[in-house]
Amino acid sequence: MKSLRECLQERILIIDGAMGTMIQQHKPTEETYRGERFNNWHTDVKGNNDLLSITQPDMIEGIHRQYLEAGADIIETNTFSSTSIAQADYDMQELAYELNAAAAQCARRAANAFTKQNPDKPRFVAGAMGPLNKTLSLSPDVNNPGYRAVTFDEVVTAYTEQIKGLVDGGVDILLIETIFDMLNAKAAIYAAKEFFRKTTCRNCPS
Amino acid sequence: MISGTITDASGRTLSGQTPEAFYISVMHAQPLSVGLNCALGAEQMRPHIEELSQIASCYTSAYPNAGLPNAFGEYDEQPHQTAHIIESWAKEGFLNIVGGCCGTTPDHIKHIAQSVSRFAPRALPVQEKV
Amino acid sequence: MPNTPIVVKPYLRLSGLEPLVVRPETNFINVGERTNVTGSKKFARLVREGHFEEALSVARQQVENGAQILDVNMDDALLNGVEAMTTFLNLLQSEPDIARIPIMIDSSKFEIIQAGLKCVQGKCIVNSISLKEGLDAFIEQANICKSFGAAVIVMAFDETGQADTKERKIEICSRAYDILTQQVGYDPQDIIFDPNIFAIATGMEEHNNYAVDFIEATREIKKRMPLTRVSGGVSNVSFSFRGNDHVREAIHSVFLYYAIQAGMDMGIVNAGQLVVYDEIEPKLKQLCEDVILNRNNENNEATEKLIAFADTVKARGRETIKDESWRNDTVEKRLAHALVNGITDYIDADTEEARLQYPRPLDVIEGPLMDGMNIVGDLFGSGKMFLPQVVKSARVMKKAVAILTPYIEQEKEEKRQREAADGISGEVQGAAKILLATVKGDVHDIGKNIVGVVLGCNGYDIIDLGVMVPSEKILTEARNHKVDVIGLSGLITPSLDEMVHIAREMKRNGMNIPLLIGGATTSRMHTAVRIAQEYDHGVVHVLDASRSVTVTGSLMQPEHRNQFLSNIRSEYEKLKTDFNSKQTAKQFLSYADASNNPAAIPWEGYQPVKPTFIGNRVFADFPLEALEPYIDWQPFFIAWEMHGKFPAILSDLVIGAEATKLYNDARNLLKQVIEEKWVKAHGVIGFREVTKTAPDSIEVKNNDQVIRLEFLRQQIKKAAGQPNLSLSDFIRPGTYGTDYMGAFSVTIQQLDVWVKKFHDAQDDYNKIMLQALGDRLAEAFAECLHEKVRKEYWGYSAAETLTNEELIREAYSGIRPAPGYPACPDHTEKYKLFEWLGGEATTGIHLTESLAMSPASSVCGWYFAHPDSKYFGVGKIDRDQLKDYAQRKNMSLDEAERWLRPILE
Repeated sequence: MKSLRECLQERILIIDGAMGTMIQQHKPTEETYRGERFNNWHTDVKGNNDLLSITQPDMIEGIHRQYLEAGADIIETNTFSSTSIAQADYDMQELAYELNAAAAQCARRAANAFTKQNPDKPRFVAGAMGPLNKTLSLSPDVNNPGYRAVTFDEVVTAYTEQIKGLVDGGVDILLIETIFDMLNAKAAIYAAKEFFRKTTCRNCPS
Repeated sequence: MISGTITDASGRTLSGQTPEAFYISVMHAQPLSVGLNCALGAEQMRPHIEELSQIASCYTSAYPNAGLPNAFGEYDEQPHQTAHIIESWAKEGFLNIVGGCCGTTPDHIKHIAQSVSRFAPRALPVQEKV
Repeated sequence: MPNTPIVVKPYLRLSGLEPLVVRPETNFINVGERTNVTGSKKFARLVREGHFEEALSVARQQVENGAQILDVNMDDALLNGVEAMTTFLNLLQSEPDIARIPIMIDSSKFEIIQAGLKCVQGKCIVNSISLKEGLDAFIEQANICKSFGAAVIVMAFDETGQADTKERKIEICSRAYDILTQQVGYDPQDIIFDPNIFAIATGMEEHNNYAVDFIEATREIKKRMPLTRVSGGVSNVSFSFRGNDHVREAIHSVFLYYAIQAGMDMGIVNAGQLVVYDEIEPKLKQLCEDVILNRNNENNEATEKLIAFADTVKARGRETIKDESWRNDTVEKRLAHALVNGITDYIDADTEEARLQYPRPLDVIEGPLMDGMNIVGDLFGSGKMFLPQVVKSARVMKKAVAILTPYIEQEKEEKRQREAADGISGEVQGAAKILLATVKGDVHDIGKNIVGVVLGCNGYDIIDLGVMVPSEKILTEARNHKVDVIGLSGLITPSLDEMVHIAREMKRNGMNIPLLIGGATTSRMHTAVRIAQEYDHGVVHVLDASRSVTVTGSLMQPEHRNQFLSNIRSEYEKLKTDFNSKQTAKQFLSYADASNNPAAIPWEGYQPVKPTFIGNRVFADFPLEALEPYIDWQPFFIAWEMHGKFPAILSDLVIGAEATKLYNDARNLLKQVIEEKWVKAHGVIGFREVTKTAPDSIEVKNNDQVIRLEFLRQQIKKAAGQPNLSLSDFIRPGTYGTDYMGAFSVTIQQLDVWVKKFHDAQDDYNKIMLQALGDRLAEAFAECLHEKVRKEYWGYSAAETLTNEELIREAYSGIRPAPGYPACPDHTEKYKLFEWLGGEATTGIHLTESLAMSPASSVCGWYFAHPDSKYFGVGKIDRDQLKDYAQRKNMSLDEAERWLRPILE
């Protein structure tokens, strides 16, 4: 089977489209999001799209399959907000690792099925690392431009946990995306570099 | 893979960087690819992708939104429209990886995949030897 | 072409908000050095005292002066370096005009470097790491720098010490290079060496070869490791000549000349300060070269010669012997020399000589005089000349033109008669015309005059309508003179509205020439949000006189004009959009809640100090010599667009020489003003018993009448525990009893007589100088009276002993805020202040309809004595306070809104 780099030499690769838009087409309700496991969760979780990787894995895998069907070579995991910092909005910071691992598995299953069907067009899974709702270069308080809602080290810790979940779940590559604040991205890069330095991973996603 | 977001017509990220400054700031990650996604539709993203494709020493990627949101916050650029714009990027050799962000659907991806299939990818830049 | 791979060059690439790519053709890179606590006492003090806003302005100045990288250093025993670095860099990130350029994080403590790396989004430089603490520490630190993507400066320092010889420098740098590239995986282009610049000519023979060692090591390093860069702190080299800027500048210039040739790429030095290598006087250059290259230096011979020469420069001081050799040049060269150097001594004779040589008198202006002014313009544009010099050049130009004018008029007249005889009439196409005016209600015109001079120097025909010019007159004169551009100026906030009005009038009258906006109270933001939308044919905010040249230049070139205006328009549109979208971000308390959150002053047991008299005391014709010690010189330099702290500015590496000249000229003129009593200083102070009747209302017992003062209160939501201040907070609440307040006004009269004399003598340099001095004297008078009030007339601070510097820093107790300024932004309260002080007749200050004080060199304000009283800005206020305020003032809402517009959302 060809590697990602080999494929890139040959042709323009296709990455998938929006996950959120497709989830909305399922018109999920609060119950859909909660599934059985979070039936009694103490906050509303509707809108926490990443949670669906745990509670509705078939829906997520189905969306991945639709994109693979459309011709995507690379699919992104449903993990745009799966960091402890972003999940704190739903008080689900403890679930960060699990969300990433579960989402990576959904994507992995779908990709593997399509690769098996047609080994000449191998499919790849990119672990999506989104920006955060807290940013390192901007102050949330207009009266205090020197203030920061989060520290560099906290951001590194959150991304490290996400990376571990994604790698354990089987992604081929990491995708740091929708960067609007470079310093957050630098923390993500820092986390990735440190993670792979420490885990001596042979075939490092980059 | 690394993908930044140019937030508006200023041509800069929200934290104020130009595309080249953005690229220089992530070079040390030695990414497989660098590119842009979100916030802009393909139409508005073009000059920035063009700029990145001329400076990046790695592969380039782009996955724009399905146009700009309409008054109701919905994206209504049709798959063939998005694909048409992206086709011209492929023709110019800006790209290695392409797809969609907010508002795009499998139909968009299908159209994009078809429209770029006949073009060769951007060649991986070479480092000048000293 | 698609599918042809691009070739990526191995250049050092850095970034802030914008990229900096160091290419082979890149010139020497200047690293801004003033944001370094070890190098700048001013910056150190600002940071220690937590004045980060001002500290940021130091950074901004560096960028404005052309720094391409900003060095930030917080290594100070009295500072928590990690905290200071973090705070400063975080703040810096919110200033796009500074964050534009890459940062150099400078510290000898690696923990501070690491803290800095966590705050900067762009690719920065770490300054520095070294092998000083051994291989392991070096690798560890390099690894961390690499994971943040920073380029590193490696100092030539190892376990055995700092490298001083060429061989040691090369050895350490080569070793560090191998470690970084082979063990850490650094790209060679991200490595910068600092092979140590040490002081030469110290008298110690072993130091004599230090410059050569640096230069030769640099050459070898660049040969062996061609992708790396070399940097260094240049001012070290001339350390033994400190105090003698003339010689130091020459040494730096000669040193860089050779070091750059050998491959030095960047350095901590400001190129603007350097004398041009070719222009160093031959003898000094020769001596510097000998010392730097260590030639003819047996037994310190060269060193001693340079020291001896330096002493003669010192001894001569400012009385440097005039070099008159330029008098032997051609008349064209003499004119250019006189213009560039601002020498009027021979201008009459030289102009006359040129007139006789050229076919027509106009040819002299368009030929040699304009050539000379073009050199001035270029030097100014590239930062090699400063404003005071340009104004002096203009004085020379005006004198020359004045000599030629009668001949030109005569020629015109002859032509007219000839044409009349031939039956043709033709108008001569002249230079572009620019109309300048200070708007109605405003009397401040120093800045406008400077703009006039600078534009005049650049060949424009200036029509200056003076001060307090109503819009009708501006429009009429603009039409009569067929001007190409209108420039408006103003210093006080009501002038902003007047400018909006003029823009509207221009539109209504169907004008189509661009409108320039300038003056201390104006801003790009206000221009974009309020003025630009009123007029469609171009509205441009001009930051200062230097900028006026480029702006006007762009407007006057037909091929650039549309592009320029459309760029400005989209820039302003964006500003406006940003402004509007930020509006929602401001959170206000209700006025009632804000009033319930005043300054926390414990009034229980507080006894106000009673002034020694109740009533007014007039100081007519106050002795001017008593004011001199109170002068704060810094704003004087700012008026001349020379930025820096006084007196440090006098020895500043870049502008020190010019600042010193300007200062000496100012002192000489001031001496004359005082000795010959050119002006009169009148002032008045008054104290009253007052009662606070409401949170922001204070009743003043004025004989048998009552004057009710109204104040405004901060209304923006504050952090927990922070008060919403109003000046009335510093007055004891009525429930505890009455309190006291003071008022004052001071003015410098009869200045205009002398300003006019200079104006008529075509001497803009002294005209502007005198106006600026008038302002300084008025401020000094206010400072002087305030001190007397504190110690004597009110006497609440009788034991105070402060130096002038401490006065300027406002280290005293009590404040003197002026109506119309941030703590009490309503100008109309000035009416009450003047009523209190006995009306306009007391000092002869007249209030214009915009509440500007005429003459412009006047100051007024309230006195508050409470030890907790302090200056602050009211900031923006919400509608509910506006309504309440209008009611309290018995003003219509519309009128209140008009006066308070600058602080309304």
